[in-house]
This record gives sequence, structure tokens and C-alpha cells, in this order.
Amino acid sequence: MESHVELQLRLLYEKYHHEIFRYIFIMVGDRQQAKDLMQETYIKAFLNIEKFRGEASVKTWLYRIARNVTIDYLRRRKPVTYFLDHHIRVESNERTPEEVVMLGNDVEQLFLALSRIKKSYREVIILRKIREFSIKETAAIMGWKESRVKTNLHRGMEALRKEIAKEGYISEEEKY
Amino acid sequence: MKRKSIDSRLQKLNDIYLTEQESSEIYDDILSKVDQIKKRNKISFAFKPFITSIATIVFLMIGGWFIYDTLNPSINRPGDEAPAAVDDHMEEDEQIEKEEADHFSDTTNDDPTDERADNKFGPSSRIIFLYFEWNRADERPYPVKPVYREAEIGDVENQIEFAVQELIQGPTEEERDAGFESIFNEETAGLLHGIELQANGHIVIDFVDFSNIIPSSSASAASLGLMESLNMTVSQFPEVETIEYRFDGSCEKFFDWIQMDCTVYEADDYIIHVRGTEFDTPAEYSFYFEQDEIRLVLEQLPEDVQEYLMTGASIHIVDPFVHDAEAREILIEAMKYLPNLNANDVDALISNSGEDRSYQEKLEELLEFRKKEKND
Repeated sequence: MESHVELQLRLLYEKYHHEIFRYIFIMVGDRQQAKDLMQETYIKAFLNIEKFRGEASVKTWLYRIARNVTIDYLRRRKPVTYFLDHHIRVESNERTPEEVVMLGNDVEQLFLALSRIKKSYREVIILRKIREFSIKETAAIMGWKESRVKTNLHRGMEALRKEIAKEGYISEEEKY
Repeated sequence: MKRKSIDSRLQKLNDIYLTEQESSEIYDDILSKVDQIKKRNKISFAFKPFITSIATIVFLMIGGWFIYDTLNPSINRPGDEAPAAVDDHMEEDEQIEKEEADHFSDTTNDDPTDERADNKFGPSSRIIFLYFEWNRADERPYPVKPVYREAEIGDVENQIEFAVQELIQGPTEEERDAGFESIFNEETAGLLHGIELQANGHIVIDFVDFSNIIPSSSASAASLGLMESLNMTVSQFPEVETIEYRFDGSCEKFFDWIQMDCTVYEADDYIIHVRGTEFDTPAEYSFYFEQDEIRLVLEQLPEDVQEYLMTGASIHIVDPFVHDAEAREILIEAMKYLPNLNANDVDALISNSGEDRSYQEKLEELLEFRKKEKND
């Protein structure tokens, strides 16, 4: 029979693991890596659940751990990605994950544009526009001031629009 | 693509899922790894007293041998048997090698940041910014604004350490009078174990635990401003990529103090508000002041402001002044309302660090502030 803590952990997993996976996946763009990082996130959460102080929601707390784990991973692989990001433009669909391709051409273009903008912009857009966190929650996850979230979101959306325009992509809605 | 269209397409990314099989496999993996870690922790906890005892014995043996060796220098050991003549040659050789090495390092040292690379034509100091909260803004929590200190040009790690040391002393009296504030003060001055800048740009800043000086409740209330202030200050160094803070070597201890979880910050997030500047030090802009376009505006400003712009202002003031005609125009316009325009007003009007507002908005805010000040 499950103990109280085990039950709590299982519920935490069942309730949030898809969205934590999705958040990491959009940040790193690789399914296997996102699965590994999600696993690392939950291991850290499970080992530290007793330290959770409850001043933020458990969801925000979990996202904070996921963010730290993801940043740490991106930092570690930086020398390689730095080269890729700066010297090789993604012009084809080769690097687009399959699950994104399946969502349609317009989402795929958006995903590619999102992956090309500055990481902090991407992060704020994921949390605010995809995960629909409030400004306050986003600020708590990122450890930022709310004003910084607002500025980054504004600039991030501008950068995303420019990236999309660069690719010459026009949505079906806009054509008609 | 319109905003609404972008938003709805972004939402579609929520349709990415793990399969049921993947979900349950990962969950099983997590449980087994958590179990393993817990068991390992238990074992190491159980063996801790033995490990400690063994370490103590080894330490005492080494200590004993060292004392014995110091007290009995006359006992011959195999290494002492080399003839004196050979020793002399070795010393000579070592001396020659050392001289050669010195010569080599003197002639090949190209590092422009090395003190030895200084020459009389280059600047011997650089301006370093410390970011403190500025309580004269309408925004809450207060935004951070830079003040500056001069640091000797040298190793970047030393410069960062200098910046952090200066920051934890808090603002000077003058700066406090000008509205700068910080949780740091003379009591926290010097409470830094050290910093370590790793090759990958990760920096660890290890403070002496000052939670007994600034209680956790005050620190957590001020934590956003505090972290903004620390991160902005450390992020001004391009060598820094990610930042970690510790108390006595523990990240958890530091973040416990401000009631947060251990966090690694990215410098990139904190240099966003500072637009690029042409040079690193204000002195390098001096030739601009000889250009007619700049000089004519400069001459219309009060003398102390002229002096400030040419000798005392930071690059975040000088850069927009020489490059941005609108920045110069706003100073001239401000003089219509504030004939005694001073250095603080110049900072408030044209600084290119801080949040994005137009010069006109900044002028309106300044006039409002002055009006309130007068009424008070």
C-alpha cells in the first residue's frame, strides 16, 4: 500500500508531467532529452518535497525546478549549440521534431521561429502564451521582477514576429 | 501573422504529449532512481562515523610525520645524498630556466587586461557599475540604477570581486541622498569568501553567511531587488554567462535566506536593459566633445553639467549624449523648465540603462518629481 508521501508524489506526477515535459521540450527541442530532463526534474522534486515551503504553488515550484534543470543542461551543451546557433541557419525541416511537424505547417514555422529567438524571450513566451501563467506566476518561476517579465514578453513577441517575417511566412488567415 | 493568430498557434504547441507507455516507464525510472539515491544516502550516513574516524587517523599520521620531519632535519634520506656540486648546477639550471621563462612571458604577454600590458597610452582604470535600487521612481518595487566605481584594469575575476565587494558595502552617503538604497550596508562589507569564474562562464559567488546580520524576513521581502542588484552588477562582465550564489559554500543556504529555491541565473537576462555602448570607458569618448555638433549643445548646458558629461558621467550617459541627437535635444528642452539642470537630472533624462521609456516621458516624470519636491 502506498504511503501518504508516495501518493502525493504520484499525484504530482500524474497531474503535471505532460506540461512539464512540454515546457522542457519546447525549450530544448529534443524529445529524448526532454524526457531525461523531466525525469531529473521529478527526481529533484521527490527528493526535496519535504523542503517545499508552500509559499508558492506546487506547480510553480515544479516549474522552477524544471527551469533550473533545463538551464543547467543548456549551459553544459553550450559550446556545441553556440556554434550551431551562430553558424548554421535552420533552413529546412530536418531539425524540426516530428511531433511538431504533425501539428501542421503553421505551427512548425512558429516553433522554428521560437527556437531562433533569444532564450529568455522564448522562456517568457512559453510560460505566458503557451502555458498561460500569470505575470506574477511567470515572475515567480523565473525569479524575476514582474516588470522584467512584461518587458521581455513585449520584446520577445516583437522578435518572434520579426523571425516569422524573415522566413516570409504568411498565415492562411492573413491571405484571405 | 497577426497577434491573435500567433497566440492561437502557440497554443497548439500544448498538443504535445508523452505516450502512456513513456509516462509510466519514466515514472518507474524516477521511483527506482529516488530509491537508489535514498539508499546511497542512508549508507553514507551509516558509514559517516567510520569515515570520519579514518580521516582523523590519517590526518594525525600525516601531521605526526610532518612534525617528526621538521624536528629531525639532519637525518639523511635518499634524496639528500646528491653531491653538492650537482646541486649547484641544478640551481644554476633552474635560475637560467626561470630567467628564460620570465623573458618569454614578458615578450609574449598579449593579454590587454593584464596589468603588465598597461602602457602610458591606454587607460589604467575602468569604470565598473554597481546597481542599487532607486527609490525616487514611481515604479514598485523600485528599479535598479547604476552608480559607478573606478577599478584598476587587471584580471577579470579581480574586477568582479571588486564589484561585488563594493556592492555589499551598500551605497555611499551621497548616493543614499540621491535616492539609491540597498539591503547591503557597512555591516555586510567584506563578507565575501571569494568568487570563482569557471572557463565556461559560470561564476560562483560565495558569501560569508550574513543571515544573522540581515534576517531572513527582511531579505526575502527585498529579495527581488537584491537579486536584481547582484545580477545586474555581475552581468556587466561579458565573461560571465551564468551566476550562482552561495553562503559558506552552500547554494541552498543562500537561497534559504531569501526563501527561494537554489537558482542559477543567466547573465544574458540581466544585460537586456543596457543597450550596447561604443566604448568601455567614458574617457574613450573624449574626442566626440571636440565635434561641432556635440560641442555646440554642450556649451548651452550649465558649466557643472558640461564638466560632468566630459569627466564624471558613466558610459550609459555619455554614449547616448554623443550618439543620440534626441538625448541632446531633451537636455536643452529640460533647461527651459529647469534652468539649474544638474548631473542627477542628466542621469534621470538620458541614461540608457533601465526600463525603456521615451526621453519625453522621462522629462515629464522628472518635472513631476521636482514639482512634488518643491511642494514638500
